[in-house]
This record gives sequence, structure tokens and C-alpha cells, in this order.
Amino acid sequence: MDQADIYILAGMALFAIALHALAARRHLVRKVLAINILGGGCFLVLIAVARRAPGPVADPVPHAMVLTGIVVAVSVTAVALILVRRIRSATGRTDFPEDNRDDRV
Amino acid sequence: MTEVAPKQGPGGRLVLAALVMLVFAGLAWAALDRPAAYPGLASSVLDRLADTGAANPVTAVLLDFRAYDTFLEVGVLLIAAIGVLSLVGRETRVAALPPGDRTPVHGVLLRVLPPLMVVTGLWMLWAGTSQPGGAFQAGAVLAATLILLALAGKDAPRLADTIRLRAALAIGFAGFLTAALAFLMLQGGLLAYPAVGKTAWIVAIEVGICLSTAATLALFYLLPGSPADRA
Amino acid sequence: MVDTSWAAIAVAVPLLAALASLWPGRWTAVAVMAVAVPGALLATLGVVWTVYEIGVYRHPVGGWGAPLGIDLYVDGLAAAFLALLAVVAGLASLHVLADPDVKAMPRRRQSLFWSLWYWVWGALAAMFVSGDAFNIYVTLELATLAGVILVSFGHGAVALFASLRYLLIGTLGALSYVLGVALLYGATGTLDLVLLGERLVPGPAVVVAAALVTVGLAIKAALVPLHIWLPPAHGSAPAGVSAILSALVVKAGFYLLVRYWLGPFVSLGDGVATALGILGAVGVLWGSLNAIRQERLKLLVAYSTVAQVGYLFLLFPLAAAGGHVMAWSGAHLLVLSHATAKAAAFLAAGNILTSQGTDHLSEIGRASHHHRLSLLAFGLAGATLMGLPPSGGFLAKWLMVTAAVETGQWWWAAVLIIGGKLAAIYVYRVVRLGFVTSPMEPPGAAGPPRPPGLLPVPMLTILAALGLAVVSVGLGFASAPPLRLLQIGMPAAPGIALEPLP
Repeated sequence: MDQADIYILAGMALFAIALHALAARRHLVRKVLAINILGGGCFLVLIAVARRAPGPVADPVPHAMVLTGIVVAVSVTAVALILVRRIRSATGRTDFPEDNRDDRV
Repeated sequence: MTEVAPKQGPGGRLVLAALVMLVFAGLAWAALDRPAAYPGLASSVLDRLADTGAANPVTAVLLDFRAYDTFLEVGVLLIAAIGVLSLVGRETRVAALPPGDRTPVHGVLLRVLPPLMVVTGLWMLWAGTSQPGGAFQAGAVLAATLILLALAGKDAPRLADTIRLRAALAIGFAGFLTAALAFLMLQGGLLAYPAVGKTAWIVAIEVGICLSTAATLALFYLLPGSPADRA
Repeated sequence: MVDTSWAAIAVAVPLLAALASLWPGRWTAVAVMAVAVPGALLATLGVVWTVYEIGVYRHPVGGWGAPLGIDLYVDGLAAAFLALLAVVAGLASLHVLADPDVKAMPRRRQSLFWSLWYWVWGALAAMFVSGDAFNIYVTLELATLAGVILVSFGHGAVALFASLRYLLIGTLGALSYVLGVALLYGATGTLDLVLLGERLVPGPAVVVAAALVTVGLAIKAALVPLHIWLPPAHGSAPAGVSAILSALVVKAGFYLLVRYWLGPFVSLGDGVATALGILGAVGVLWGSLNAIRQERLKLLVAYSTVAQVGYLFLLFPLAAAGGHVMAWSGAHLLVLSHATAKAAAFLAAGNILTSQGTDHLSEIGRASHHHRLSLLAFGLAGATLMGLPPSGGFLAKWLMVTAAVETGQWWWAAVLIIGGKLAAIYVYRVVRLGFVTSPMEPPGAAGPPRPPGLLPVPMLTILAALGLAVVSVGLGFASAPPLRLLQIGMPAAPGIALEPLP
């Protein structure tokens, strides 16, 4: 058990916690937060993977992947949040409608 | 944010919790497995670092070895900007602080901070080729400057969906695409930088990315923040 | 000149169009389309031609080459999907250009719509030729994000809810995929799919990574039970958007699963192949039964997509059991014919919805004469969905049924046949409307040019739907070139010698 193991386990734990939140929480903003934590978990795992690679320095390729992932996460969050706002101003709701009947117009 | 009551009963919650624990158990099992490790790409990156236009390994991966990923990632940012433009109305204005909140500290900070932030951002852009930093980070600092100014009610930029705004949002990707295609014509490979002037090309692309990142992040914050929508 | 650059050009053309579209104006849209659609077709022809000439090839982006750099990887499958993309998206672009719903948008909003449209196109092209696991993640996110925003252009709050649900679930899929890729990189030190296959040694990390990648991609492919996001999103988006989402974006998830499970993961066991086949079979039944119950045309087509995707997953157990060549050819021919048929069905449904303001089946019957050409397109597409001879769908299913019988797995053949019968029911529910005599249109009379209250349907939108429907049927007549293309670089089944198709 070394430092990288702790990081990778923490990343996996974040992923699982966020998965729970995504399913259990109903408020749309909380779901968006859950997606962000999910991404955070992935990034932590990537950092740990970079550290584990044998060699004198950490592997820069996973680091670059994390940077790419962060930019993607920012973009997704921006679009998700504005959709949440549009939904609230159009319907007053902050959660998905209970009846999942999709034949309503 | 008031939390709406969970929709499932105690039974459903237990099932969900059990499922998530199961997922975590599987992930932890994988996490603690250390397969006979192939070496990562660290040594190859360091070996070829001199052939790239960057002195920092992460920047070399981002803008040379795996520049194609970064190219598409700049595209993700542009798509998000397009999405925000399409989901918000045409013109909005930022809600500034109400006048009562303005204190002398506020005034001094507003005179001192923004120039410092701009310099910091530009330095991060420049330093990115050899040290941690780079176009995205620099863009984020510049965007923060714009947001600070807007929140303080000072020179609050009126953001509108104009050609100029669209140009700022797209210039990073447009520059990258132009370079990629130019190299395809000249060098026969997508994003294959010419050996001469490589650093200059990379810096030029980074400047574009920095501008677009700043514009996009500022847009994310400022455009939807209209008082009309907030009511 | 045999040049590997065609693959790069096929990606670059739609991206250039996405940028150019940001300049608002009707003429921009027309001009961009006049250049981009032929350009993309030409680049695709270049890719197909080079694959015929030199077989499987790579284009090292940046000149580095894998594993340090990213390679574009082109084989017959990639070329066939690129060709499908160019044909479906090209014809659907014509539909969007004439779509009254799109024309009614303000000028600036229209240009944003067009830009996103080409973004989906470019993202899919990049995905089809990508040979790098992490690069695929970026293209997945590009396609999802652009698709999500396009869905939000649909009418009303339903479209917004559908759009957000699609975004949340799609991002969950992408992140699950990327977590799997992180573990794979830790185990092998490479992101190149071919190298990954050479270095993969089954173990806990690799098994969990494969599970994460598979779940992530199955969400994108709308494999039951991960399909719940699909019907609302495809049912509420603008017609052209539904068409490319259903025909192409969903198939892209399947494409990537094929890349992985008949690529690096092939050694991980046949159990997964069977499991994917069972889920696919459930999808066929569940999707078809739901499609039969729907009262709205677009939702009917959307549930039918869930069913059609199910068939494709039968490839995995069939290939694992040795019916390799037949199953490979059949499943991918099914992709080609269903994608064109599905796009045609959504465009036809969109024409009816736009003209009448509703797509309730009971309402459509009232003005069936007015919609006869759209119903004809729907009927032709339906023939492919049912698998009626001589359509492309028939030949594809015949190949798959043969593969099932030859490997002694008659139950998969039963799924294919029952699915076809169920498809016949829901297609018939729509097509019969074309023969109903409505009170608004007395029999015998040539009828008024247009019943009152209905908007005209532009000829171009009808031609686009008909064109796609004709392609889907025509694939049954001209199946030799695509089948030959698909076999270039076909992965070998473990332990089974390849034999050419009879």
C-alpha cells in the first residue's frame, strides 16, 4: 500500500459516491454536481496511474489526459447548468418529472 | 437549494446503496491489482522532448505528441459556448454589486487586482512551454479578471451574440484547424509541425486557445447571469 | 497517388463547415452545404478507394506514430461507417435546409444550429477513424455535447428535460469509459487499440476496465436496460436531429463496442459475448413491444431504434461461436440498411409532424392523402426494418440467421425472426393510414391540393426522406461492394480460419 494506492482508492470511492448521488438525488443541480465528482474520481485515478508507472518521473501522458478531461468537464457543466436554468424558468421544476410517460407534448 | 425528498422508499434506497457498494468493491479490486506493469510513456516522452517545440513534458504531450486530442478538446469548449449562446436569449447584462456594497477596499482592489491578474495570465501563457502553466490556465485567469470587473460593476462588458464575440470564441479552434490543414498540405501529416519554427507555431496556437478560453469561460459565467432570467 | 491523408480530410471537412456556419445568414447555410456535402462525399470516396488499394492503413497525426502519438486507423469497417455517415448526414442536411421548423428560427439561432449539426458530423468522422482509446473519449464527448444541444432545439419543456437527461446519462457513460481507459493504460502503458490488444493480460484491473468501457459504450448504444434516455431525446428533437442521432450516433456506440470486443478484448471470454447477445435480444422484444404501443409516430420510431440496436448485439455471440464471417457481414450490413431506413423514417415522421402540428397516429389518418409521399418513404424504410426481401435488411438478417443456424444457436435466429414479425406490426400500423379514406378527402376525388389547417411540405424534405429509404432498400440489390469493403481488415476470430463469403 503506497501513496498511489491511496489516491487510486480515493478516486474509485469518489466515483462510487457520485454514482450514488446521481441516482439518489433528485435536485438537478445536485445531479450536475454528481457528474463533476464522478469526473474528479476519474482524474484522481489517472494521476495515481501516472505516479505508478516505473521511472524517475511521473508519466506526463495521463497528466495531459486529466487536463483534457477538466476542459471537457467544464464544458459539460456549463451546458448542464444552463439547461437546468432553462428548465426552471420554463416549468418551475428543479427535478425530473415523476411520471416518466414520454408521450406528453 | 432545497433538496426534494428522495423518490424511492427505504427498500429502494437499501438496494441502491448495496449496488453502489458492489460497484465500489469491484473498482477497489481493480485498483489494488498492479498488473506486470508495462512502463508508461514517460521515458519516450523525455527522449523525444528535444524534438518538440516545448520544454515542459506535459505541454509537449498536450500540444505536440497528442495535439490532436487538444485540438478536439478546444472544439468541445467551442460547442459548449455555442450551446450557451443558443440557450440564452440574444443580449443580457451582468448584475453588478448594488452600490451600497461598495467600500474603499473594493475600490483599491479593483484598481490593483485586474492589471496584476492580466500580467499573471500572460506570464502563465508564456511560461507554459517550459513550466507548469499554459493556454487554458492563462485563459482561466483572464476570464476571472473579466468576471471580477463585471461583478464589481466596473466597465461591465455588455455581452451580446455578435460576430465579434463569435470570432473570439472560435479563434482558438480556427487557428488550430488552419495550422492542422496547412501542415497536412505541406508536411503530408495532420498537425505535423514543420521542424523549423516549431515553438513559434505552438505559441501562436496557444495564444489563440488562450483568447478563446478566456472568452468562453467569461461567457459561461456572464451571459446566463442576467437579472431578467434570475427573477 | 495513394494518400493516407484522405482520412484526415474526411474529419476536417465537417469541422471547417462547423466553423463557417457560425457566420449567420441563410446564404451561409446554403453555401456551406454546397461545399461541405460534396466535399465530405469526395473525402469519403478517397478513404474507401485507399482502403481498396492498400488495405488497412494508419495516418500518424503529428508524424509521431503510436504509442507516443495518436494514429488514425482506417480499415474496411471504418471506411464503411464513414460512407454511411456521408450519405445519411448529407441527405439529412438537405432535409434540414428545407425544414420549415429550422427556417422559422431567428437567423443567429439557425447558424448555431448548423454549426452544431456539422460538429456532430465531424465528431463521428473523427470517432470512426480513431485508433486511440483516449482520443475516442474526446470524440464521444464532442458528439454527445453537440447532440444534446441539438435536442434542446426541439419544442417545449419536454425537449429540455430530454436534453438534460441525455447529457447526464451520456456523460456518465463517457466517464465510465474513461475510467476504464485509465485502468487499461495502467496495465499496458499504451492507448493505441492494436497495441492494447497485444499487451492485454487478463487480470482484475483489465476485467474491471473492460466492464467499465463496455457499460460506458452500451449507454451510448442504448443497449437495454441502458436505453431509457433515448426515446424522449429522439422523440422530441427536430426531425433532422432525430434522424442523425438514431441512424448514426447510437450506431457509433455499437461500432466502438465492436472495435473493442472483436479487438483487444477478444481474449476476455465468450461469457460477455453471450451476455451482450441476451441483452440485445431483450432489446429487440422490449423495443418492438413498446413501439407497437406508441400513439405518436416519432416515439414509435424511437422505440423501434431500441429494437434495431438489439439485433446488432447478436453479432457478439454469433462471432464467438464461429459464425464469424456471416455474422460480421450480416450485422454491419444491418447497420448500413437500418441507419438509412431509420433516418428516412424520422424524416418522414418529421414532415408529417411539421405539416400537421401533431404526429398522433389517429390524426395522421385524417389527412393521409396529403402525406402520401412521406408515408411511401416510411413504408419503404419499414420494409427494411421488417426485413422484407429484397431490401438490405432482408439480406442482412438472412446472413445472421444463417450464421445462427450454422453454429447451432437457433435461439438467436428465433429472435431475429420474431423481431421481424413485431416490426411488421408497428410498421403496418403506420402504413395502413395511407389506405384509410379520410372524411376530409372524399374517395375518388383527386382531392383538394391540401386539406385546410395543414402546412405545405417542401419537396426537398420529401425527396431527402425518399432518397434515404431508396438507399436502404437498394442495399439489398447492391450489397456486393459494401460486403467486400467490410471484409477488408476484418478481425480474425480466435482459432478459426477465415473463409471468404460465398
